[in-house]
Amino acid sequence: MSLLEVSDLSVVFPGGRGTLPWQRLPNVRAVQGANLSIRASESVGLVGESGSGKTTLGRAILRLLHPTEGTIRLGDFDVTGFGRRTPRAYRKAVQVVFQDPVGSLNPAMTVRDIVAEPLRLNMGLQGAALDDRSAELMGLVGLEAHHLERYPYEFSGGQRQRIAIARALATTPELLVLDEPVSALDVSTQSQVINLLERLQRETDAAYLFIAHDLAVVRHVCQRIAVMYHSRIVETGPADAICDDPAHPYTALLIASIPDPDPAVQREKTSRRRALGRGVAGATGAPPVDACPFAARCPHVMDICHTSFPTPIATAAGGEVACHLHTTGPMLGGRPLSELDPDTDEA
Amino acid sequence: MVGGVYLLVVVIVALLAPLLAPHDENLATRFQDILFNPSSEYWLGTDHVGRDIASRLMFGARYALFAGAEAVVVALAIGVPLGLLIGYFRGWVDAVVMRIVETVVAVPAIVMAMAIIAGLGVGLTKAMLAVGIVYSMVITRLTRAEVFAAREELYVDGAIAAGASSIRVMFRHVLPNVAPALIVQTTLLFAQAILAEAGLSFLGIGAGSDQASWGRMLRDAQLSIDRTIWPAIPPGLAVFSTVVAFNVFGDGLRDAFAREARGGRIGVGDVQRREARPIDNEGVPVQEAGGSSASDPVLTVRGLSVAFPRLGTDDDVEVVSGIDLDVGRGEVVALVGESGSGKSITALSILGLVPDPGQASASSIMLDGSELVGMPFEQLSRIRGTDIGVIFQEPFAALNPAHTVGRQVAEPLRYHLGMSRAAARARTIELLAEVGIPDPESRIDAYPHEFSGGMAQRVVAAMALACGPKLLIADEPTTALDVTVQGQLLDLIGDLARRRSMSVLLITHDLGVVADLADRVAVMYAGQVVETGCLEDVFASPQHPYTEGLIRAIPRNVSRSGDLPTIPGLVPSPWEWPDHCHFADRCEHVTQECRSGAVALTPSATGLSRCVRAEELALKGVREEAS
Repeated sequence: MSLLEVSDLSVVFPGGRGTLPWQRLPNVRAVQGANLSIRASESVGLVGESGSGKTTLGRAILRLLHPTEGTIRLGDFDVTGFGRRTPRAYRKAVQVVFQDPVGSLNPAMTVRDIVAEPLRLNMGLQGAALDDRSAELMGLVGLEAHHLERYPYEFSGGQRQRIAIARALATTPELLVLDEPVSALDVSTQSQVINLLERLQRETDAAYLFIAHDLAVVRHVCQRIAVMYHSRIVETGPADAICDDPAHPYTALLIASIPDPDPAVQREKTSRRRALGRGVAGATGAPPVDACPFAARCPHVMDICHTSFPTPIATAAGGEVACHLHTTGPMLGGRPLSELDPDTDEA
Repeated sequence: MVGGVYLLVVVIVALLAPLLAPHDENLATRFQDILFNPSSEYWLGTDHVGRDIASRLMFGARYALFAGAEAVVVALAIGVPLGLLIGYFRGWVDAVVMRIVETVVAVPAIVMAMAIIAGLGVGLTKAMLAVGIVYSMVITRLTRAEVFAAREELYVDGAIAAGASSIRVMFRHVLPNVAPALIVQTTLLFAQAILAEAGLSFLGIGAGSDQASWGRMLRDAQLSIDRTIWPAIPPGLAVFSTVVAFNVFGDGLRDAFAREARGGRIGVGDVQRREARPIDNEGVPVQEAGGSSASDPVLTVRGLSVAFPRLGTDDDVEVVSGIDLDVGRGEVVALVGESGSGKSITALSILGLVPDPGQASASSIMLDGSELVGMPFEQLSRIRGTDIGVIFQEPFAALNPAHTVGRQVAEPLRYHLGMSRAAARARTIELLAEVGIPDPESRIDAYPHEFSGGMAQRVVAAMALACGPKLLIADEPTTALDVTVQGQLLDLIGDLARRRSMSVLLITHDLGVVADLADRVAVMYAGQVVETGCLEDVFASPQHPYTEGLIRAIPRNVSRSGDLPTIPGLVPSPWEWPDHCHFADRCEHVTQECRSGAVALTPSATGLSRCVRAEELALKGVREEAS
C-alpha cells in the first residue's frame, strides 16, 4: 500500500502576454501524465535537469499550485479534491525543505519563530511544551538550543539547511519533499547534510521525495529513482538498477554526464557521454507534445519517436520505462539498454 | 544624520512649545505692537494683528507634525492593508483597485485633496484626512509592488506548506520584509504632507484662524505683504527646512537599508606591488613555486594576497594569503576549493578586478613576459580584452540583453583589433561556428534571451576567444548549466585549449570537472594553496588531508551503504584563520606540530603540499574510494 499516489498528473501554465498586446505565448506544459508512488518510510528520488518539471511536481504535492489534470492521493487524503483550504492534517503530514538556504528562511524572524511556527499552527503547542519541542528539534539536526535566539543570517549555508530541516520535521510528517536540499552547499557541508537526512529518515520513518539534478547524490539517499525529462517521467526503478543499468537512453546519458573525480574513470565516461548524446544540447526548442521529448538528442532515435510518446512498460529491474526501443523498435521489452549496444552503455 | 538632528529639534520644540514660547500664540500681548521688527521682546517680530511670530512659529511646529502624522497614518491605514490584499491575491480585485489608484494619482495631489475637502468640509483635521486619502494611493501602489516581489520568496512557500493562513503569511512573513521600503516612503510622504498643509492652510481651507500653523502664518503674512514681507519669512523658512530635513533623512534611511541588502559589488582596484613574505618561498625555488613543471609559463603569480576591511572595525582581513601559481603554455590548471577559499578572488585579482573595498598585492604577476603588477589601468584593460579571455558562471549576466550576440562578440574585434564592420561580422560567424553554435549565419542576429543557458555560455566563450587570448580564465563555467550540457561545454573548452595552444585557468568546486579537464591542479583552502601537482598524482595519492577529505566526501555513482565520509566542522571565516595550519581544527591527523607555527608550501611526493605530516601520512585517493 503506497503512501503517496500520483496518477496521470499534468500541470500546464498558461502562456503570458507577448511583446504586442494581442500576442499570446504558448502554454507551458511543465508536467505531463506523471505517475509516481511512494510507500511509507521509503525515499524516492526525482531526478531531472532544470525545466524538466521535477520542482513543479513537488509543488503540486505541496499544494503550492493546482494541477491541470490528474490526481494526487496521500493516505486517505484526496489532495486534488481539496477545496480552497488545505486541511491542517495534510499540512502536518507533508512538509518541505527547499534548495536555497538563504531564501527559504524569513530573514525577519528568529530561528525560534521559524521552527516553532508549524508547531504552533498545526500542533497547538504553547509555552514550555513549545520551547521543549523546539530545543529537541534543534538537537535532532545537530544544532544547539541557544541557536534558537539568533537570526538566519548568522548561520552558514549548511546550518541554515539544518534549520529548514528542523522546521520541516516539527510536525513529524509522513512525507518530506526535499527540493534540491544539498545542491547549494559545498562538498564538505553537503556530505554532512546527506548523512543527517539519512539518519533522520531512519529515526523518524518519514518518506522522502528527494528532488535533485545530481544522480550520484540521489543514489546515496534513495531506494527508488524516477527520471524526468522535459515534463515526462521517462524511467523509474530501484536506485542501483537505474544507476548501474538504465533502460532509457536519457538516463544513460545522464549517468555518463556525472563527472567522476577519478581521471581514468572520467576519461571512460567522457567517451561514453559523447556516444550517448547527439546534437548540441539546448540547440532545439520545446519538443512537440505528442513526441518523445528526448528524440532530438537520442542516438537511437526512430521515426515513431517524433510522432508519439511511448506507453510505459515494466522493466526487468522492477520499474517502468517509457521508450519506443522497448515497445516498437528493437523490442528490448524492459531489459537494460546495455543489451542493445554493449559498447556504449553499462555504467 | 543632519536631517535627523534637525527633525529632533523640531519635535522637541513642538512638544515644549507652551514652555518655550515667550508669548501667547493667538493673542497679541499689546494690540498696538503691529508689524514690529525682531527685538529682544519679540524675537522674530509681530504680525499684522500684533501676535508674536516666534511663539506662533513654535506652535506651528506642533501643527506641522500633527498634520504630517495624520496624513501619513491615514495613508498607511488605508494603503498598507489594501496593498497587501491586492498584491497577495491579485486577480480582478487587483485590476479594479489599481485602475482607481492610477486615476487618483493622475490628478495633482493637492487638487485631488481640495476636491475631497469640498465633500468633507474645511478645517485642518478634515484637510489632512483628505491629503491622507490621496497619499494612501501611493502607499497602496508601493506595498503592492513590494508584496509582488516578496510573494515569490521561498520562505513564503515554506510558510504556506507549514500551514500558515493567508492572513498570517501576509502580516507575519510578507509585511516585515516590505517594511524598509514603506518606512522610507513614509518619511518622504511626511515631508509632502507638511507642504500640503502649508498650501491648503494658505488657501484658507486648512488651519483655522485660531490655529497657528505655518501655512496659516503665510496666509496672514500675505494680508500685510504691501507693508512688509518679514512675517512671511520665518514660516516660509520653517516649512522649507523641515521638508528638506525629512527628505535628507528619508534618503539616509534608504541608503542604510540598501547597504544592508547590498552584496559584494565589483569595483576595480589595482594590484599593488609588495615583496612576498619569506614564509611563502621558504625552501621553494621560485621557478618551482606552484608546482609547475612547465618550462614555458604563460602566467606566473607570486605572493598574491587580497585583504578586505572588516565591517565595524579598522582592521583589514586577509582573504587570500600569498598565492603562488604557474600556468604553462597550453596547460589547463584547475584552482579547486569550496566557497570562501578565495579561489574566485584570486582569479579576479589576476585580472586587476578586485571587488571594491578589497586591496590586492603581489610581488609579481607575469603574463607571457609582461608584468601586470603596477601596469597603468588603460594598458591593463587592453590586456584583459585581448590576451586574457574570461568566462564566468552566469552566461546571462555576462551578456547584454539589449544587443544581438553578434554585436557583442564583434565588439572586442572592432575595439581592440580595429576591424571593419564587415570583417568583424565575418570573424564573428567563424567564432560562433568554432564554439559549436549551429547555423551561426542566422544566430548571429539573435538576442541573448533566444538562447538556452548552454548556448549562451558558448556565446560568452566566443567573446572570450575573439582576440585570440593566451590565457582563458574560466570561473565555474559550467556550474549554472545542466549536467548533460556541462559535458559538452567541458569538451569545448578542452578542444579550444588544445587547438589554439591556449592556457586555461579553471576555477571550480567540482572535482569531477577538474578530473575531466585539468592537467594540473591547485587545491585552495581558507585563502591558501594547500596542495599542487599533476592531476593524476594529486587525486590518486593526495598529500594534504584537506584534499583527501574533499575527494572522499563527494557522492559518486557507486553502490554503498553507511555514511558518506565528511570533513567535520565548517570552513572558518577569514578573521578566524589561525597563524598555524588553517586546516588544523578540522583535521583528523592534527598534532602539536601543526599548531606550532605557519606551514610553508614544500615539495611533496607528487608536487607541493602545505602539511607538516605529508610524508608520514598515507592518505587515500580516488582509487581506494572507488573500490
